[in-house]
Amino acid sequence: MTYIQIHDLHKIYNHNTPEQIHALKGISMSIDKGEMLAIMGPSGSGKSTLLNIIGCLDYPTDGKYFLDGQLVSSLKQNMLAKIRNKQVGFVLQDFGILNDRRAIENVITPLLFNKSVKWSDMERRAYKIMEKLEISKLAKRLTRNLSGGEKQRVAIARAMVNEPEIILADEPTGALDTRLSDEILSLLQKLNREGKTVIIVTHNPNISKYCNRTLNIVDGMIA
Amino acid sequence: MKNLYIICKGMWKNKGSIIVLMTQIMLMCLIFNILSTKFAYVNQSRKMIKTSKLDNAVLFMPAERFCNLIGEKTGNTYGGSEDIYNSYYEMKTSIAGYQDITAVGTVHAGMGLVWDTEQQEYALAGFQVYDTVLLESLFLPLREGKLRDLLTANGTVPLIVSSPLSKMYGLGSQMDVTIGHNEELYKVKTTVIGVLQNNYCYYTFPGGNIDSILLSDLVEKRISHSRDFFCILPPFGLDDDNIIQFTAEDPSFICFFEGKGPTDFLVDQWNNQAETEGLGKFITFEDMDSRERKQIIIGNRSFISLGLIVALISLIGISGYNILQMLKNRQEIVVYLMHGMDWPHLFFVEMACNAIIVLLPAVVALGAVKVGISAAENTDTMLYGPLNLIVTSGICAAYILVSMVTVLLLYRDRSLSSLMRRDEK
Ligand SMILES: Nc1ncnc2c1ncn2[C@@H]1O[C@H](COP(=O)(O)OP(=O)(O)OP(=O)(O)O)[C@@H](O)[C@H]1O
Ligand SMILES: [Mg+2]
Repeated sequence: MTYIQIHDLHKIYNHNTPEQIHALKGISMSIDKGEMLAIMGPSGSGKSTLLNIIGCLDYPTDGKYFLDGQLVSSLKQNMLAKIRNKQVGFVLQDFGILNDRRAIENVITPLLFNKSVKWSDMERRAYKIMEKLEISKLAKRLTRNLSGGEKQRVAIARAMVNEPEIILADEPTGALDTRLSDEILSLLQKLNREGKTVIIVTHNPNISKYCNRTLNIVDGMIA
Repeated sequence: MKNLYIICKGMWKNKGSIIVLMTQIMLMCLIFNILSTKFAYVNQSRKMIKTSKLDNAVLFMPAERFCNLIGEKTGNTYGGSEDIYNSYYEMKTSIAGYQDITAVGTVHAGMGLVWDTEQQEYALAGFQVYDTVLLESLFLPLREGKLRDLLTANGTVPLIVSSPLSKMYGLGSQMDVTIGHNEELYKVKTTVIGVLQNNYCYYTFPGGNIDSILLSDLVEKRISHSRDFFCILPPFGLDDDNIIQFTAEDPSFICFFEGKGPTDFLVDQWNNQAETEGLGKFITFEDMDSRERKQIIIGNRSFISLGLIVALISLIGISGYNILQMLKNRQEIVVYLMHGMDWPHLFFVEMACNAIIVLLPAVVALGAVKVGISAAENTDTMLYGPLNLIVTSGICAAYILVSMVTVLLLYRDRSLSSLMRRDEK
């Protein structure tokens, strides 16, 4: 079943200025529900840009993007915020963990903006997901003191806590050594087997071991 | 609850800079509140002029040499120099004959003669009631009693009290007031002949040889200097322990005339006439008022310039700090935005934080000034009033505005991906 449908997507940064960058030049593709997709390509080719648009962090300059049948590219900011909250989970290379907070406080972040979860339920839900990822013993630790692998697990727990349909990971293993990198990828694979759609941007050549499809992007186009 | 968590977390993280910010705001509020109390005091006497018929009058000030005390008591001459006394009366009669002048009232420069450095003469700041003409023009709003009874001496000193004080001392009741004279204290019997409609905030000093009056008598054990309790007494003096009531003490007159405000031409004409007679000078109340303001500004010049410098520094400092503080918070905000915080929510949270940052110190400063003024011994030149509220809310509004603009510039219409990029660096 097609979950994500993208048609002739363009992204131009700093449109109509001398700084203009044409980052995506007409991308068309579809992703099925439950797929595990890798996006690869040289640096600056537009991988993160594509992922950001899929994750509703940014608007395309042109083209159509359907998420679960809904035309996202025409939605208002506030609707995008809702999608980010409920339908998408993000895992980034080294961004987005609040180092001054405890692991569990990082995990509850998406719940703060989910109106259907009560304040009193937040911690319980966060614990549940952390237990599943075997990091509940880290809950009260300050993330500042966690190792890279542990941090990335916290980030995955945070991405999972609102039980989204898709997990978007932008170089989730970029800062980790091979062993840890494999662990994180297996973890994502496990989530994929439970039914989540997973999209990973990566430079890791071993990625095909985990993914059922690899998309190559070169200079803003699918190669 | 969730919002509270978000706000507290954000503020706690930057507690150091927030405390510095709050201190800056508090200092700024303090300085401006102290300044405004000084100006409120000036406005008080201006209000008195506005609410009376006095805007249809001018003040006549004799030459400087007359600005010493001249006494007149009913019956006898008081205070020595009969010559001065006579010249005073000659002057009054002469002025009354000027073109279009219909009545001349006598005033007593009780609250202060200030030396106007620019004009090289005395300016009158505040005045007191002496005779019928003035009394009737003043419109002191009485709830009970008659204003003109202030001028009838009958062994006791007549007294008009404020509403709150009348609960203790009603119309016709007597009270002892302690006055100081030659470093000794005397008890003076007063009779309440009028009650002011509201908590009138005007207090006339006893004139002549009386040095001071103990307000504590009037207010019993309640807060001294509380404006609610002020009373109006006619000027009176002590002569071998007897009360002598004055009708004139200072040779300034208030002159009423036909028509509305005097034209400049008329005032010039009077002044020329007075000059040839060697008398003194006419001045409109507006002039007097602006001169008085100027005096206060000159008197507080260092304070005001300090205030302005502080305002400038704090403005830059506070805005800069505020912006820095919000910049520091940006990673956190971007994480929130990524995980589903929407723009109105972000705006609400940022504004709530900033409201706390500005309101807390502003309220503390306002309270401190209020308490400080009511506790201070000498509050003659300060008055806590609406101006304080206006100034404080102005500072708060300016701060909120700056932070609003900052939030808008930082986050509005910015794509999240570009916010994230900036943070990765
Ligand atoms: N917010 C932005 N504003 C302006 N230009 C941008 C922005 N984001 C990306 N770009 C530019 O768009 C192009 C594609 O960037 P993108 O981050 O998508 O590349 P990438 O494939 O993820 O590269 P990498 O592997 O290095 O992460 C680059 O030239 C980049 O400089
Ligand atoms: Mg990238």
